[in-house]
Amino acid sequence: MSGSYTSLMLRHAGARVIKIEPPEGDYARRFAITMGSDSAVFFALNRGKESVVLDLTTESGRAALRRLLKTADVFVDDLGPDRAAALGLDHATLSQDNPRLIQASITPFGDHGPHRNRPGSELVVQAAADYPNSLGSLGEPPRRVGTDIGYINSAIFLYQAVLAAIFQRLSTGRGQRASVSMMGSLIYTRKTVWAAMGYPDTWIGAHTETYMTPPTYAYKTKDGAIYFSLRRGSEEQYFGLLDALGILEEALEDERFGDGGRAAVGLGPVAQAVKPLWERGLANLTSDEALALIQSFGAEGVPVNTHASVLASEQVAALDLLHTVEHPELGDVPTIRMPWRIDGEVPTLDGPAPALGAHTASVLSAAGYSAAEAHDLGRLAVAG
Amino acid sequence: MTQPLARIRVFDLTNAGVGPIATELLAGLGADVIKVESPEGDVMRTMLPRQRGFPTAYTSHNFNKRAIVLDLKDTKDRQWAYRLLETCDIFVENFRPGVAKRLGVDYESVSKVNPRIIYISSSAWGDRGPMQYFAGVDPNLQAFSGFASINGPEDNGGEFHRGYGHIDATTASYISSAAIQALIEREQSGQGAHIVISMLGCALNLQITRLAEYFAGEAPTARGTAATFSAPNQAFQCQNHKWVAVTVETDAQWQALCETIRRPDLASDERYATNTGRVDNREELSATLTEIFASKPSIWWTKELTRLGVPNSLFLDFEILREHVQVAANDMMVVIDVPHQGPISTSGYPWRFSEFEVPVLPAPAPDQHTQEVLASLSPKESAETPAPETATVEA
Repeated sequence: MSGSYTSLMLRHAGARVIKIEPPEGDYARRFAITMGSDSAVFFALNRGKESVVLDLTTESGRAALRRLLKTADVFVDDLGPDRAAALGLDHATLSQDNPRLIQASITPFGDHGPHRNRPGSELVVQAAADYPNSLGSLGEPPRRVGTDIGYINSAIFLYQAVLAAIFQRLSTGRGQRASVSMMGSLIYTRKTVWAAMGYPDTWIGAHTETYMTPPTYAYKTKDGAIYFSLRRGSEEQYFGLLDALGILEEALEDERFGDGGRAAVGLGPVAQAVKPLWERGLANLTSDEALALIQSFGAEGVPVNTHASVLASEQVAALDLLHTVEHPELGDVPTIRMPWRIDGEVPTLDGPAPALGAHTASVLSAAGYSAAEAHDLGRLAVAG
Repeated sequence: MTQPLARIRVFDLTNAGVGPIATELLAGLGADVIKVESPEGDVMRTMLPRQRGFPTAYTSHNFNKRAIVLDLKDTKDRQWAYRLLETCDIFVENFRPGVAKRLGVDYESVSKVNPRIIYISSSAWGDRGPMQYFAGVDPNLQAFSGFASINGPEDNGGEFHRGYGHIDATTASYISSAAIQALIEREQSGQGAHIVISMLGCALNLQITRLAEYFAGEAPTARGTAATFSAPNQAFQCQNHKWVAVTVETDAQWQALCETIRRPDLASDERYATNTGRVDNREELSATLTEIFASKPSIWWTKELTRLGVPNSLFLDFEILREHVQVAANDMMVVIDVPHQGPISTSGYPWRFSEFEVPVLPAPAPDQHTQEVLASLSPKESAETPAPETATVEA
């Protein structure tokens, strides 16, 4: 999954991406929740790529891959350091044929150390990298971050490493190996926590207290939930808001609501503890009404969206973040665009994900294999 | 070999979490990142906790940089900023829309000073649309983007990820990627670029796999530790009460798990033969495995799962990780001696390269390099080198 998103980003940037799959195909094709014949996840991560089947357990399959790599700029792999070397697909070997080749390797736990060949997964790496301690409560069953941060954040870092190596190659003419691990990526993104917990003068603040803080939820309204903060309002506006919500009297008697409400909302230290009073005030308002009221008193809030409601929002439409592409079996389907606009343009990537081996013949023929040889490699692969 | 961005200079006019982490990534690749603060300073200077009286969050986001203070509301300082900008390749700001223009450092002004500049505007909600002027702290993005809606146990309607901003850090890594991509394109075109990035766009891209499932008609929901797309892929509690995360994504891993639990009958059970079957029957499967894992301690399970190649892990925390052999072997966490603070725990950079080292160098104190940086700029008649201000450290 990580490698697939890295090469998807390269595809968005204009690269031609050839995906090498084993005879049975990328196992992500068989994940649950399908879009046509393949999984939805496979479709999203492999759009616009070409698929070539090669059986890397055979010498002819490995030789074909090495031939393709002679003319490649970047080789993204998730083989693991020891397996790559055993297959002759390590950078030291590959760069003899193509000194300009950049090898970009992703592992679950890093290139070195006793766990370098240990298999990983999204959940496993989140568990290993402390993430469940930012959710749930001590003594309760653990929870994970619902989206695939281990796969995707490591893929972004690997993309960045590839770009750095390409930039360096512009002046040196030489490629190199870059590597990223899922665990290292998740440890990097959590860096603020390590600095806070390492050697602080006092044990205070959101970064240190995450292990002990109760779960953080949004504020329930009549028809949904919102999240809000008071960062920009005056004290007068704060009291006005409390009054409009009908909770001013009680709040005035409670010192946790003092100091302009700084501690009582958002990431404030007592925000979760005093939430019931806020929710009593919000109970008779719809989310839209609550947000309008909060805004009228100089504070800011947002609705707590599901995927359906965020994708239907005006803001997502204004930023042009959705793009419709044609799926060969299903017709038009939505996809998500890259998060940036370059000189006014949002990069657009059309095209579906390839069928397994759809480009084996054309890619191998272009690499100098005769039609018969290409056919044999393909047949071998299918039989494999 | 030197680092790839060794000749690249970054004018870093960013604040708080997103922008500073983005430029810290560029600094790790060798860029000369000059953190430019207003006299009031980065909001991180007020964060808790502190170490030797100085906030750890400021340090955490600014390794490998130089730090200067310029008051862009002041005409003389603004001229210094323009002279510095002449020597820069990348400019990053994370103001709300309109603020950069007021300070004279919008794209139009900056690209006039330096047409080759790669100018990056990062904001929470982007540069258009009804929410563009809204505040953009991480929890707001977690709420709005659907990120929170799929965290937590099955029935709570979504839980926030707490402790630090993961969407902040994610946006940072998209920003630094966009910057390097633009550097490569500049080598071909000779032209600078204006890049606009939103946290909202990054939060949605981060969720590309869950959104794919939503687009396929199955809206993801919060489900504890369980995965949407494969099974078993969740945490189980062991006899000694510890939890172990176990993932099966392939049929081979399923067979290995059945061997781990000594259940050949499950290995040959047709209902569980494929991933689709295991997902369709996940509740029953989960109940069976829950009972099995509760029958032996975690030390047994982690040994057997690892021996047979099933992805697994205990749930670790900082106290364990800082001493963890794998973390140490890959420099995932390091302790850096920062002169004004002593030892600071931080992450190593997330990438390794065969041709150059990626050092983690101490973060500066605010204003530490003002004199040094300004003195290095070519002299002009009107501007004098200002005396450095005393670093503002809130006790």
